Amino acid sequence: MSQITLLSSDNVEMKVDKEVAERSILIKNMLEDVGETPDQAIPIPNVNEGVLRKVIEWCEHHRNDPPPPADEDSDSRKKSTDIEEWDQKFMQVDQEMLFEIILAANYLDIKPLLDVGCKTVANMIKGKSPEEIRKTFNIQNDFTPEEEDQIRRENEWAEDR
Amino acid sequence: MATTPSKCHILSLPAELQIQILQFLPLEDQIPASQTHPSWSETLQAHTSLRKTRYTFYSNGIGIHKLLCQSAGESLIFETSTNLSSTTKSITYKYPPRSEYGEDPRTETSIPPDCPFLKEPILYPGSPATLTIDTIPDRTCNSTPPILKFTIKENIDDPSGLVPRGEFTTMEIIAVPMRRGF
Repeated sequence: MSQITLLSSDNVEMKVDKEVAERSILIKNMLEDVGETPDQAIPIPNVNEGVLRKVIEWCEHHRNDPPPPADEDSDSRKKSTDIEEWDQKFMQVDQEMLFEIILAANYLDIKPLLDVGCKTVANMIKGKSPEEIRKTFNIQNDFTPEEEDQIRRENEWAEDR
Repeated sequence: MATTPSKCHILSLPAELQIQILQFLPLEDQIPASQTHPSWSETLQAHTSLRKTRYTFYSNGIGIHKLLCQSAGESLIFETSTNLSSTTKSITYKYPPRSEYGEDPRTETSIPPDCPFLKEPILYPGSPATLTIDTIPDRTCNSTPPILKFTIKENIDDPSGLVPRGEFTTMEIIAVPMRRGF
């Protein structure tokens, strides 16, 4: 099994099976362009060691997954926020790491991991009130009272029709 | 989950990724999300891919807003609360059986009158259909909004009848209006 070396943004080298690294379409295309297994480490400038290890862990577990359906906008993908058990456990990290994984999956072009990350966040929003959502994600309430009032007025239906 | 400020805040994610997250929310969760922060309210309203999730599309290409109907033939799936004062008025959206959403125990969602989705057109723009709205005289209470009959008629511009018809050519929905501009 041929291996390649990845270099994180904080200059840590990691050896991975080529097959595992190729879960990333970015890396896969890069390797195809080069044509042979490179001797030098491939720099991943946007992803630090901790996040890269996490991403590789996911790729290892999913190394034999069938390729995702070609239909990018398939409705079934969007509707369901079901996440398989292993992925749920994998995503039990703090929010910063969760967002870092999403950013890394987007950068490295690992669509199934990006989906799992986005679904995890969506599930943190589901079933909550606006106030609970703000608390969960530490979002400031940036609606001014005037704005809220304005929206409310605009949407009132005629009282005396 | 951490609630301390982090450099990687959900609102600082690239817009494209926020859209991807919001895309996974069904309508009943888009409503509170839109009230969470002005930027989410705008994102949810502005992006076609997100707007489309709030419409039910039929085989004839007609898209009908989910705050009006869930599927052809089902009517009156939302109703208003009649005994609330003008400032606290809320609208209850009654969901059909929730099997496709899993175990969520909620069967009703309250829609605040400032919900931006209430201003969206009933027919998805470009739908090959015309919408007519008739008021059904309200016999019960003057303070409630009138009951309306929405008739959605498929545009048939093929007199030969060779174009295959969709799931419906005419659909009628009886509902209480929550939208402005009727």
